[in-house]
Amino acid sequence: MTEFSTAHALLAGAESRALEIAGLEISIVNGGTYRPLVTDVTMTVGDGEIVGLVGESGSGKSLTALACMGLLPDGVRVTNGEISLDGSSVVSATESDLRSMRGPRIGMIFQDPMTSLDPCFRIGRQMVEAITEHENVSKQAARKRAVDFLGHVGVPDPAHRFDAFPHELSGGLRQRVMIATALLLEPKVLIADEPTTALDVTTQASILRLVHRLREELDMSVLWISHDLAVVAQLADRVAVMYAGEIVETGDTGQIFARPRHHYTRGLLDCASHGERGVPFGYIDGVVPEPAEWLHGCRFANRCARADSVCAEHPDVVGSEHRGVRCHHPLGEGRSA
Amino acid sequence: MTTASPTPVTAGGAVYTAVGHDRRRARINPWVVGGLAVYAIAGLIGIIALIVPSLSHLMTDQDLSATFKPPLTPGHPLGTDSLGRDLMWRILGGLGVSICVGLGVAVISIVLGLVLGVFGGFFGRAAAVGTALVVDVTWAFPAILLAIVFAGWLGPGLPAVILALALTGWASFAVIVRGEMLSLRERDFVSAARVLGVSRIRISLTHLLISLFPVTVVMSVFFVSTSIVAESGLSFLGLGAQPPMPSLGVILAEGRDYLSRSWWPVVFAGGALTVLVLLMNALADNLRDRFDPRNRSSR
Repeated sequence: MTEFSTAHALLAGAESRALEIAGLEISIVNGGTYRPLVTDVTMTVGDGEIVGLVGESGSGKSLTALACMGLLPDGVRVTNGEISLDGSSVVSATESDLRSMRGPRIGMIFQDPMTSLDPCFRIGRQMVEAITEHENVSKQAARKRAVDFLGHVGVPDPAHRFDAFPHELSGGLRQRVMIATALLLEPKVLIADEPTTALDVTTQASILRLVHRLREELDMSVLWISHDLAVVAQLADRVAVMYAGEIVETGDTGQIFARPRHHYTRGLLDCASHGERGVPFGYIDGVVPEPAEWLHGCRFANRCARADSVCAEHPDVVGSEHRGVRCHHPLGEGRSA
Repeated sequence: MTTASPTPVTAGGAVYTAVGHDRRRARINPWVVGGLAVYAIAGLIGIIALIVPSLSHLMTDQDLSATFKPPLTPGHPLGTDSLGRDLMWRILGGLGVSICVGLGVAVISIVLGLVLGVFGGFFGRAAAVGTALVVDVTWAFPAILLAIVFAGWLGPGLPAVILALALTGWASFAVIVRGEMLSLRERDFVSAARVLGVSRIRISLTHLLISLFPVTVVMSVFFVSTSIVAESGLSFLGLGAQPPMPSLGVILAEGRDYLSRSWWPVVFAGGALTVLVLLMNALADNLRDRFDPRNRSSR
């Protein structure tokens, strides 16, 4: 693991990091055998920073997020690398340590607000449950704080909505409730796993504004997982692009979108509309490979127009956290090398 | 079995509007509820007669001068049996015994099944394997064998019957609960509670138990009805209620010997048992339809 040492060197350079992931490998473990699903993921989220993690379905984004929460499914484990939350390890934490971390130190919101709230309970009860699980406060104090947060995230008439059942709220309101619940314990880091995918575009825009505002007000770090490049472009300070279980490019948002260096990133951008009439959408041939079908060399080689014999060797990330690419033939380099 | 139609107006709107906001749900057949209410009253009278000493003679008093009296004999509306005992009181007592055994078995089976099913379905792989092992071992013992063991240990009687039926019955419910848990634990609201640091015990006691409510209610009714049949069977074989305590199974067994002489003990006891079990099963079926979200037009 040569990347591992470079990763640590990179991390040492950054100033303050709410969340750092170094050389992360996640595998399905079955008896003595294991199959990696995510390999060598190294990234950091600084204090008050919003980092976008993009990639197609099946590229390992959500697994990375679940690993940060210590909530990997049965049979899936972190087999290498480290995740640390404000200096303390998530990988080696016990279940009770993890439980005290979830909520006050790291929060998460999910893709579908329609199913993330238990339909059998009033939303207020679910919010109060989160507070009383971590803090020894009275029901009234917990209720007051929950109502405050509901108002804070823009739920109209929060005192009344507190007693609503989930089915009485719209999708946008429910996602606001989810955000308010995640923020109740004022976590330093918020992981958002495609939280706007299930919402319509106008609701999506208001949720994005909300997250921006809350980041400022609460000085919170956000890891924003999405396959929607437009959303990430609006929101994120930095972007990491994942493909087939590894990070293929990192960089500041402006640079990634203006001058992508990995052919996969280029392809993703071409797939998005630029609003010009008559210009057909681009596409990337083929599909994201299953972990069993990963190539030994560059995992993108079989879908890449630029691939040649050099690509039979697995490339390392070259560059820094602010501009890194995992490619033997990065774009925008000319043929000087 | 009436089921709700998504368009209540076309399907007999008057009936559906009469029940107001519940009109989208499957209805419980009022005949079933009425029938079971009659049984509940009869069983209650039987239980009272069984436990109040001054009344229990009504079902145990023998009168050898009045054996095999046919139904509608003055003082004996359903006739008398081979020892001249009043058949109506014997059947009321038998129903009381049936209901006690049915409820006892249902309560024990449901509690055991819930605890082990939730434990096996939500607390990791070791718990799942352990629970599956206990269930498999339980299933290896037929209820009747266990009943003989308990009859030998505790002496034949109702406690042995209840224990034997409950200790075999819970396993099937535990498997159902575990199956529900495997689906529930992947639900987003469970993950959402876990990312807030809510403990698994607390999640099981709130979010999961309430989601298990429908299947628990349906299975309770089912347990009561199967246990009533099983109790009669065990009593018929002499492993259950001991003379002079009445039980539908005992009445059937005694009546069988004199079937050519008097048909009424077997017909009345058997009929009471059959109708009771049919009503219970109809209720379970109705409840299942009512709880099934697919039977509603919207969520």
